[in-house]
Amino acid sequence: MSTIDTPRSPAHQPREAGAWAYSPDVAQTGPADVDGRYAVVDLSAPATPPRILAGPAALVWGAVDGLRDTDAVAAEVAEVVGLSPAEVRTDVEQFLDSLSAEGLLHRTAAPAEPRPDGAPA
Amino acid sequence: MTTSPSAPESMRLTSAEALPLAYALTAHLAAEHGIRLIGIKGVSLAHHGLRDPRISADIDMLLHPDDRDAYVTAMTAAGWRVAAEPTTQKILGFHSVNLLNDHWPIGVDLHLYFPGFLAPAGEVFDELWRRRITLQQAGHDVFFTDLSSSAAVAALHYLRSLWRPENESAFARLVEKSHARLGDDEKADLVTLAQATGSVRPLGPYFEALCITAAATHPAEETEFDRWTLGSHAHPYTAWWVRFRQLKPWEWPAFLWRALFLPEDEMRAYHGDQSTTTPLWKLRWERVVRVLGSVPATVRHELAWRTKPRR
Repeated sequence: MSTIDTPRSPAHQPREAGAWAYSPDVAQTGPADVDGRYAVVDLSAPATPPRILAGPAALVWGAVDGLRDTDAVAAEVAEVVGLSPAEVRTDVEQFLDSLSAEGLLHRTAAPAEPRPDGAPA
Repeated sequence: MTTSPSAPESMRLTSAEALPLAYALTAHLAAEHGIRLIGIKGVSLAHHGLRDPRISADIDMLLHPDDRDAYVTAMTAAGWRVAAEPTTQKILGFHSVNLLNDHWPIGVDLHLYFPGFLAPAGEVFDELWRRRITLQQAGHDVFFTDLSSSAAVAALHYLRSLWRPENESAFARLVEKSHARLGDDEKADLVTLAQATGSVRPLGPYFEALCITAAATHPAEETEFDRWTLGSHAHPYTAWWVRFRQLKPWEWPAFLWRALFLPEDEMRAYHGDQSTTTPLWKLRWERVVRVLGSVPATVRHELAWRTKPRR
């Protein structure tokens, strides 16, 4: 099975702060197409096979919206799975970092803006 | 997890997921290499209200014939391979290259021209390109044919082998939807397109069903229409007979041998049972039986077509 194990370039490394966003070259189908999962292709690496994100991976991927940082993504995932943010944060952070290393996610330049309701963005 | 032929079925890319992703991928590669590429049929027909949405086994893309090699090279570098090149005789020739990838459940049918547009392929492509629209697929812009081009492509596709029952019913549905979708302005634009691409006469039955009258103005309609008529009405095996008549007698044995037995990769790709384990001799024997069994129907079809009054 083909896998993507290593970062392709330093440009794909996450920066220290900022919200998570999909890389511009990501093409994806959402959970509406096949129940609860995403199919993702990195158009900048067209020979890499399409990637299926299901279960917890789909929850993390779906929580990325260009506004949430790692804490906010973890909070969103925790709410869905019924755990505390602290319990899922390490796993979420590692997964976000791995997606970033694969070039599928990047951090926005500016730190995430606080949301109007006061929750972490 | 990346999709792989060995991945559990639940983690494999489905055709429903693959279609928009493949559109996005092919468009991205074309743009990256400066190649003009347009999606035809497929989602554009559904977008224009000319066909109900459905999941296809491939996507159909059209490019300028001069860009074939560059684009196939780009797709090959992206892990796609050209399916066996068919040598089967066809009156209208082979108009597309079939690209496959083991990680994708669908193919890419790369059209170098579209039969029924009788004007030179490059000229037709330029006209379709000029009219292109943009649709979002998997979050990315992809070029597709406009309403008139989509209607013409669909009609020509069905008219190319209207003798097939499935095409006859699909053509009837297209006419029904076209009645609802095409007003006077759209019909006028369809005529403009048909005249520019030399497809007024091939589209005759479609125009007749829509009560459209149009004059063929492109010179290619004079020189190419007979071949279209033969190719779209004759039984598929007639092409072998047409080619046979063009050969010298000493070329006959090799030709007949190839006609009956075909090269192995072509036999397995287009005339087999999609299995790699079925013995080749069995596939070839089945083809011989099929060919011989179809001779009476081919002759009847040929005679019926030759004696049918023409407009």
